[in-house]
Amino acid sequence: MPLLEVRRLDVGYLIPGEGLFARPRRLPIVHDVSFDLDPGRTLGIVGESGCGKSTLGRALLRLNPPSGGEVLWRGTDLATVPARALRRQRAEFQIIFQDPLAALDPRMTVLASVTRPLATFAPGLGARAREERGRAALEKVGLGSDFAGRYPHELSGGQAQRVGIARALVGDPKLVICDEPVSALDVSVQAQVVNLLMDLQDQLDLALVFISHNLAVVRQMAHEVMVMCLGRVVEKAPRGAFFAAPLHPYSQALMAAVPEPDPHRERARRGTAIAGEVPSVLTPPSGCVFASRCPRAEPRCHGERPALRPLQGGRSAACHFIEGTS
Amino acid sequence: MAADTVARSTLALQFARFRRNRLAIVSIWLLALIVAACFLGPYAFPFTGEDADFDFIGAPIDFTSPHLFGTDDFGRDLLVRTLEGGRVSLTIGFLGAFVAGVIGVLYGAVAGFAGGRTDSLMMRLVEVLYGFPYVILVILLSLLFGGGNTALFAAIVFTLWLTPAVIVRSQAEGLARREFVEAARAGGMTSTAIVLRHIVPNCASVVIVYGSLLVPEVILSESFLSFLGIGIKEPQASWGNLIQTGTSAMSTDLRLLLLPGALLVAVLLCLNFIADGLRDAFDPNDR
Repeated sequence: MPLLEVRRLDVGYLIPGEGLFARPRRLPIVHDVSFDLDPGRTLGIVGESGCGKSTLGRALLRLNPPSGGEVLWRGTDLATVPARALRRQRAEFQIIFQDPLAALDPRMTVLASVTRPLATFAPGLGARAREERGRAALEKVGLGSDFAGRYPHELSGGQAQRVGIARALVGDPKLVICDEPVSALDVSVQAQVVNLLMDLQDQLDLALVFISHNLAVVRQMAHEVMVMCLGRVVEKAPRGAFFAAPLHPYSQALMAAVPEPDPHRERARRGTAIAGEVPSVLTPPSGCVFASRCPRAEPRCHGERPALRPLQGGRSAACHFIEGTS
Repeated sequence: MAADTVARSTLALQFARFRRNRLAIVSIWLLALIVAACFLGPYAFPFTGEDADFDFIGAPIDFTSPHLFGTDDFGRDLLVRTLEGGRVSLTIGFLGAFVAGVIGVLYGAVAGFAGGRTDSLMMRLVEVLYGFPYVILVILLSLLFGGGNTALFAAIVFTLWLTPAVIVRSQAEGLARREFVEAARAGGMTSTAIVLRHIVPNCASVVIVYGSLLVPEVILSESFLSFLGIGIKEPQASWGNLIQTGTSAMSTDLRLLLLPGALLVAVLLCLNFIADGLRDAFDPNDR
């Protein structure tokens, strides 16, 4: 049985209506997402800003409730778990954040931040035992005990992100959602954090959901890649196959948008940037989510939404121009 | 960062900055002196502020007599009465500010954290209460509680918790969206625990600054209400009713006005200097 099974998940936000007594409206963000995740594996989720990657990540942990579909954790639908039990169970699935400094309470020491979740996850533990586990978690992420008493404003971005990882690890999780964990860090520090996450995955057999818009990092970390556009999955493929030849025009466009280090090739590459505006989530297109910006779009693409069809080699894509296997 | 730097919380840094403000530190000492005098001073005299001494009625300042600052028209010792009045005024001031502060902080933190409709409803209620005429409220509460200190205290708390609630709410609203709150939820904390452990402590700076302004505000409204005659009643003394007695005798004998008035002014100035120092030390804008 996979660790995490996501079935046709929809997620939306409630936004307040106009005026005090108006009914709040639901703004749909994520539509019809399904995938499985096994222990020790990494799913990379890529897509441009605002495509619903982070919203999806939080819904997987029930930090915001899904509006449709289900999330099965080891076979149990998380929606059926009572609130109190769910709080305990959160030890098993954790999250690390994009802005590592904002993710730490400025008035708490590093050790206090790291050990805080143990009050819920291991309520029987004494103060001494909790502190020991906190220090052990800090050790795991390469922070010595002299960091324990520091405050967030005394940390660098990379150190703060390590503290965030230590806090996620303190309850011995099986799954960690990494929501753009390196995009706020210096490039040199990014590599350290990526390597740390990969080492920890090997040691602890962690499953990771790695949300990022940085394709190079996803290529290094992920076993499988899922591409999202405007809240829908447009392509899903094993890492090797995806980076060898992305099928969906949106995936191809994302890949082409990665800057080239060589200035000559970079100049030759000009003009491949995605043209056009991203459609608003308030008025989603009735056809393909990428149609308004797709170089290959035909009238059919605007009128009819392509389904995510399984293809050869365990991949799938949602595009009228890609032939399905079925 | 030097290796020997001891980790210090922002709160500790802010207090270190506060200690460098000389005016504020002097104010704290002066205030402590006045508080000590009010609470301990009356015990140094063989009589209380309610004992009439018929040999000294309306006696003037005379440092050789037992009544250093003289007596009032009933032969009651002015200094002792003023100190005892200070005890009442200061108690109401600090206690009232504390209670109003706690209520306001919790209310504001909950409203800001909850957001959405809960927040709107809670803050509309605050606005309604803001619009309520203060003096009429006090008179109503006096009737309700049968007058006396309880009514006064209730009325003061009832009107003064509103501003801290509004201030803390705006802070809490911003804090609730920070990622460490999301992290706390992922860590299995309940909303109550998040409000108490994360939201309220992070409002500490504004609360400390505003709280220190709240104390003189409470003392002033106590004095004001007692001056109007709907606060502390004779024979119990408070700075408000002492000043009131003093003003009616102002044309013949300034002494009755000056002693309680001077102490009130000194306390208010001290508290304001302290509040000023705290604000300078805690203001996030000049960090």
